[in-house]
Amino acid sequence: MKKWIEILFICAFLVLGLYAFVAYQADMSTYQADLSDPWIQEVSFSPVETVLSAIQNQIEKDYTWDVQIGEVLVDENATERAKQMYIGSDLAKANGWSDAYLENNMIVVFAKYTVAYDHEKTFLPDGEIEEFFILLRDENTQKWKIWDTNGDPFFGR
Amino acid sequence: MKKRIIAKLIFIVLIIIVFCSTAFAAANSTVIDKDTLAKGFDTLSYTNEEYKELAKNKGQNDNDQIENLIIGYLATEKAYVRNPEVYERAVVFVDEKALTSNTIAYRESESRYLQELNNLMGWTIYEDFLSFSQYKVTINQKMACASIVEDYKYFINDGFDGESYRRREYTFSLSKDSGFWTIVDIKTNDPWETEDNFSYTEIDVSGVIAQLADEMAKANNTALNESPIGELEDKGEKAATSLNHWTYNPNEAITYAANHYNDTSNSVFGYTEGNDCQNFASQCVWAGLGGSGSSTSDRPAVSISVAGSDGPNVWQRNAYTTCYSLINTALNWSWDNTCGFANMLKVSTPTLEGPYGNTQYSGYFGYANAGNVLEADWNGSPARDTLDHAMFVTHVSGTSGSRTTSQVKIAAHSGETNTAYQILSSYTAAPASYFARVVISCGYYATTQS
Repeated sequence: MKKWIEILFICAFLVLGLYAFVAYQADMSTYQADLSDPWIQEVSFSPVETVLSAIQNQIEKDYTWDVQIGEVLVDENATERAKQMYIGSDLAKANGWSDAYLENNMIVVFAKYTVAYDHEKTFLPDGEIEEFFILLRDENTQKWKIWDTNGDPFFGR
Repeated sequence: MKKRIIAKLIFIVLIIIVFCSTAFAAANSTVIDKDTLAKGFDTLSYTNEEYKELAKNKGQNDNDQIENLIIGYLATEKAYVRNPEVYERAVVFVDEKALTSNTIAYRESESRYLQELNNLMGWTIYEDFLSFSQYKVTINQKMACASIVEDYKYFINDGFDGESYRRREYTFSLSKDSGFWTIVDIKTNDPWETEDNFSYTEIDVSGVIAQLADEMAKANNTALNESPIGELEDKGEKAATSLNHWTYNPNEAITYAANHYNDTSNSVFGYTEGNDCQNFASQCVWAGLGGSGSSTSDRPAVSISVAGSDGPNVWQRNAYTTCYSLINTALNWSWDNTCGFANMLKVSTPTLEGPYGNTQYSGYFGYANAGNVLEADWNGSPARDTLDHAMFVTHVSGTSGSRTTSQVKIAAHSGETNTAYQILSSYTAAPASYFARVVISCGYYATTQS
């Protein structure tokens, strides 16, 4: 009798362990992009950290096989270029962004990373990616959030 | 008695002389006020002499004189570009000893280039508005460093409607001699100038203008002497079809672009952060074919149920064909991917439902037209498998066949244009050879267009 109870307990632990393992695996890739596909970004006081989180979190998406980050750094030239392009523009007016707000709260981070995607789930280009991330700072929280990206290699020139 | 009368008369005459002198001086005063100018003015509102007087005006102190000087310099520079017959080049405000420096030579040649370019193209800046802000100065005995931000709006008859705009921060180095400040160096915050390896070299204005004139002459000769290159060049003979012809209305597409260029979300088609360029361009084309409503699968989109799972004409948001799986999977996604969209138009025929048109991968930028989609290859070799970024053309000027990147206006996502009509050359420095042109001629569908 005792032996049967022991066997039952072992089986129960095995079943629970298997269930936990399966649940853990499922939990690792729960993000499924639909028609909208945002960056999964953790806004931060550091614009570089915000961009790093967005790129790293691409692995959470069900269409991503691999992400390797190269370099991520603030690009001063691209920041000036972005400010020149957007300060005083129709887009800035439409969004209610004053010249002073953009002058003090827009920054560009350049990132180089390598990514592999499942092309039966996404149209996104993969391989070696070089991208300029344009971030805006929330004046209340002082944290940086990605607003847009630009893949034009001339953007920072 | 007589002496008293004579004395009174002399006194009255003196009073009149003093009064008239003061009035005369006031009437002929040409010193304009820097504080008024800083708020904004048309650069032709003041004469060449008034700007020179402003620059010489010592004002209340060194700070004021330096601000007067740099405003006078920047205003004269713009006025010279607009009217070189009347205004001197702004180097009159520069220290003679600095005239041969590379930065001054570069700056001066920049003004001459703009003036000669306008002359060559027949352009006139017929109105402008120049204002200044954020003036700062640091003075150390006879040397100073000053910076100022210039906002310059202008209207030019280059074929585009609306104002053009530029914002720049200038940094001046100055020296004082015999009580007057003069400029010895000028730099701006243009991104190329702030690069470590930027070289200040005088622009060969006559050489550049001559080359441009030559290119324009060649392009004009081509347009006049050769048959116009059709948008469907190299498509071959159009096949007969039982499908219904749908009109592509570029104005509808442009209206859609103007209403949505600033979107960072979309309730019908969604928004892909960082990669929404082709999704946006496809939406513009969809609107031009009469698309409306909240369905992503209804015509003019082409769903898998209409085209088949391996149909080359599948054109629906976030849907893909398997047609190109063994060639290049990017081509499977014709709504969302730049290569896929361009290829779909390239292979389009009147016998398959969907947009009908053509893709000209190289050599046809000069024929860009409103309602087209431009696809850039950032490596400079646009081809079926290399395209990186999509932009929707909202306006063009100049002559078909010889349009330049300064004569094409676009709306785009990822990166967003700053207006629905941003001049391509202000959006990217990529030359025309980097762009493929996608032409949408019409659509063919099993149902009639509503």
